[in-house]
Amino acid sequence: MAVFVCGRGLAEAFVPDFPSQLSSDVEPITPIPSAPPVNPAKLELGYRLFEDPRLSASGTRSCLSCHDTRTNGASGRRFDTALDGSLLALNTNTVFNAALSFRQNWEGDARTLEAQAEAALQSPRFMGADLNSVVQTLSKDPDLVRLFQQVYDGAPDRSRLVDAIGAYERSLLTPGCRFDAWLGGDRAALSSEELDGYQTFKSLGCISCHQGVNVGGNLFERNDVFHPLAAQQPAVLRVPSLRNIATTPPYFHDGSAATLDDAVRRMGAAQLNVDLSVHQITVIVAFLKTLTGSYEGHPVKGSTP
Amino acid sequence: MKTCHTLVALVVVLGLLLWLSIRAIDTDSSGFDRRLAEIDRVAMINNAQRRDVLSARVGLLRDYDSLARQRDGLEGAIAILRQGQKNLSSATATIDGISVLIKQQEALVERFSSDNALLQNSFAYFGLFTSRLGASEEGQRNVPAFSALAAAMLHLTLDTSKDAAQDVATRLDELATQAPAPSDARSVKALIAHGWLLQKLLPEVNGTLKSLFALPINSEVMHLREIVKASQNTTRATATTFRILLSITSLLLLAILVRLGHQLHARTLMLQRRAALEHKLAEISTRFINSRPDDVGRLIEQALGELAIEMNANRAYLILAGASRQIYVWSEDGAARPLGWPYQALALAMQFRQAGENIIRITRTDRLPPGDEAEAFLSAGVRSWACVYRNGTDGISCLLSFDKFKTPGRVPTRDLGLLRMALDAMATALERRNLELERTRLETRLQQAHRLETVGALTSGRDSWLRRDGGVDVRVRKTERDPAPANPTCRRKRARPD
Ligand code: HEC
Ligand code: HEC
Repeated sequence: MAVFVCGRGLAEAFVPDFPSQLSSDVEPITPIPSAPPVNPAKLELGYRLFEDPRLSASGTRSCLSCHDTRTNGASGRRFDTALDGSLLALNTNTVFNAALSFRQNWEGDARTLEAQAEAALQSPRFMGADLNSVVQTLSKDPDLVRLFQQVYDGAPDRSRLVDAIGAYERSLLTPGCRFDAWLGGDRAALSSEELDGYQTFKSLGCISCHQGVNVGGNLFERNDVFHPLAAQQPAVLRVPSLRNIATTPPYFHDGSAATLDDAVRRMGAAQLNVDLSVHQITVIVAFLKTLTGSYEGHPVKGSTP
Repeated sequence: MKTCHTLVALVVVLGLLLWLSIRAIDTDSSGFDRRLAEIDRVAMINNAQRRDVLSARVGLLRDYDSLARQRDGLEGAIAILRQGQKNLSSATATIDGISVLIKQQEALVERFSSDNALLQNSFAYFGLFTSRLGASEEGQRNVPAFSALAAAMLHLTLDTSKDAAQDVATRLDELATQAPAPSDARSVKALIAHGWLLQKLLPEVNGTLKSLFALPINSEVMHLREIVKASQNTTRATATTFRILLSITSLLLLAILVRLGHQLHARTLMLQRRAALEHKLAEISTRFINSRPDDVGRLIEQALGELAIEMNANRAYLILAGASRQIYVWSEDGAARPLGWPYQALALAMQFRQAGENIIRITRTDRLPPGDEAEAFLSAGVRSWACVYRNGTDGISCLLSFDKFKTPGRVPTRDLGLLRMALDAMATALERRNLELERTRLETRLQQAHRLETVGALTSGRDSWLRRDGGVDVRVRKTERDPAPANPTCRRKRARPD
């Protein structure tokens, strides 16, 4: 803010705060790192647990039921169903790159993946599991017991169960998207339209909330800074990550935006107080589509509702 | 026995050494260093976070990921510290305090990030719109209101007082009442919207920053550092004390080992000497066994000389008590022996003899209680005295004695025991000789008797008995070294083994 003292134009005095903040050679978005090295047996165990319906009270659903890691790490539905058949209050987040967010869930109420997993397992609406009896059930499975033994040098227990799931989730990163390639110096990775979209994304100020490695996921913000966006509650949300955003419709915590165009338009109005032009929306969406990475060598793809 | 003591001392010192070395190991040294490193890490991350917060405030932070990483780093470091500090209650309390402060800081940083994102954004818009509106043809009439608003806003960035905020509010209200040029209407509306947001956020962010920087994390961390450092120093001091004790004990151990070595060496030497002595004794005994009677005197003198050398003495003598008292003396320099010595030796030995060992050993005669004995030794010039003896019916029958030791005060006891063997050999040889002499005398007498008988038969005479007796006397006098009168009773007694 010292700039204005130098007697330059009024506009200039403010402008440096914005573009100089985020443009130049240092981009405000960083590429997805490769997953941390883990004991393969631990990953195997984590995956087995992630897809194991014995972890739910009904014995009919697993984490995978709502977080399909073969598609987009979430589901295509606006709301998934609770154990009692009613609809959940919030749209399902993807588990892809969740490890890169500073907190978990729409409201950021879980500090770690482990805490989130433990809560999801025990929530009567999600899995409804009694962890002690789950551990008992699992202890009867010689295969799993062997894996636990191999990884933890001990029998299954609550904390090991949750730890293994957390370790697996930390491996659910989707590097290799085109935008990351561009960040890495491959100037041909983006078309001019996509690049235009990125510049617009930055110049409009989307970047002030959606930045960092996850293009979001590191701040709390109101969802109605200037105008209402979607359902009023919860009012304060963790800014969602825009990684793989093209594959995870519908959008917003209430799943009220069916398409990315709609989400972008409403974002502009609610958070930035701008009515985006069709062109701006088009190029921003084009840019957002370059954020789709790959998991285990396969591009993340949308899930059918 | 002495070696045995040394061995016990060795075991004790070894045990002590082990205990001391366990205590001297600064067990927690690396633990302390790790904790100190962790404390420094807390300070470092905390400073980095505050720096990043300030960078973000002036719009120079690349993204907010670093703040989240720092949060995780601080939490991790605190968890490690907590684990390592379980036994230091003052530190635990401080860590708890820091942990609370860090939680507060985390909440403040999150609030700051949320507000700052909006703030930076609205600033950008505010700047964009004021410049756009200032440049627009139609908007010229509103320029004073824009300038006034911009000035008030800039003022608010520096001074977030209520007045300054009120000033901005007034300008925003003013602008809202002015009808903008139709083409500028949307920009003016946006300008006003961002303006209100800034008017609200600037004081808020400022307040958040103030509270954040007021958190005494760094001073608490320094405090914790001092506590840990102090306890590290205490531990180190204790360890150092033990290390010094350890060094001393090691020296002690060395001393004991050296002593043990000496003792063993001495033992070896002693055994060697003993073996040599035994060998010598065997040699002497053999010599006596094979001796001819008229050689015994010479052999005894030779043996005395040899034994004196073995015993490290300058003088040795053998005294045969009783009526046929005989004395053999050997002395290194052949010097004249003091008057009356060693006749008194026998009497002295009688004084000092004890039941059992048949050994007398007086290392320092000058330390004897004053009296006749001490006087006797003094006048004989004998400073150390050692002897072995055989008991007869009325006292000591035979005495082998040494004095004038080359190293006075060092008279070996053990070897003395062995010397009894030599004494026996010499005594036996002397007895054998005496018997031999007796036999020869009897033979001679027999021959003479025969002869006399023959002569008597031929001539018949009565004075020949007298001559025979005188002849025997002369013989005895010749063989004995000493002119003392012979005692036939003693000789008879000696013929029986002791
Ligand atoms: C019934 C469907 C359902 C099941 C089963 C389910 N989840 Fe979820 N998951 C959700 C929903 C809905 C949310 C969003 C919840 C919220 O924001 O409060 C969510 C959020 C998450 C997130 C947060 C992602 C982010 O970016 O914030 C993680 C991680 C996650 N789930 C993991 C799991 C794990 C692990 C399991 C199995 C133990 C599991 N989920 C089971 C529906 C489900
Ligand atoms: C003030 C912060 C802020 C700014 C600026 C902002 N967003 Fe958002 N964005 C959010 C929040 C908060 C949500 C979650 C809203 C909800 O789910 O109710 C969101 C959600 C989204 C979503 C949907 C994500 C999902 O997984 O459902 C998209 C797409 C999006 N924003 C794009 C943009 C674009 C494009 C811009 C710029 C025009 C922008 N955002 C500017 C805070 C912001």
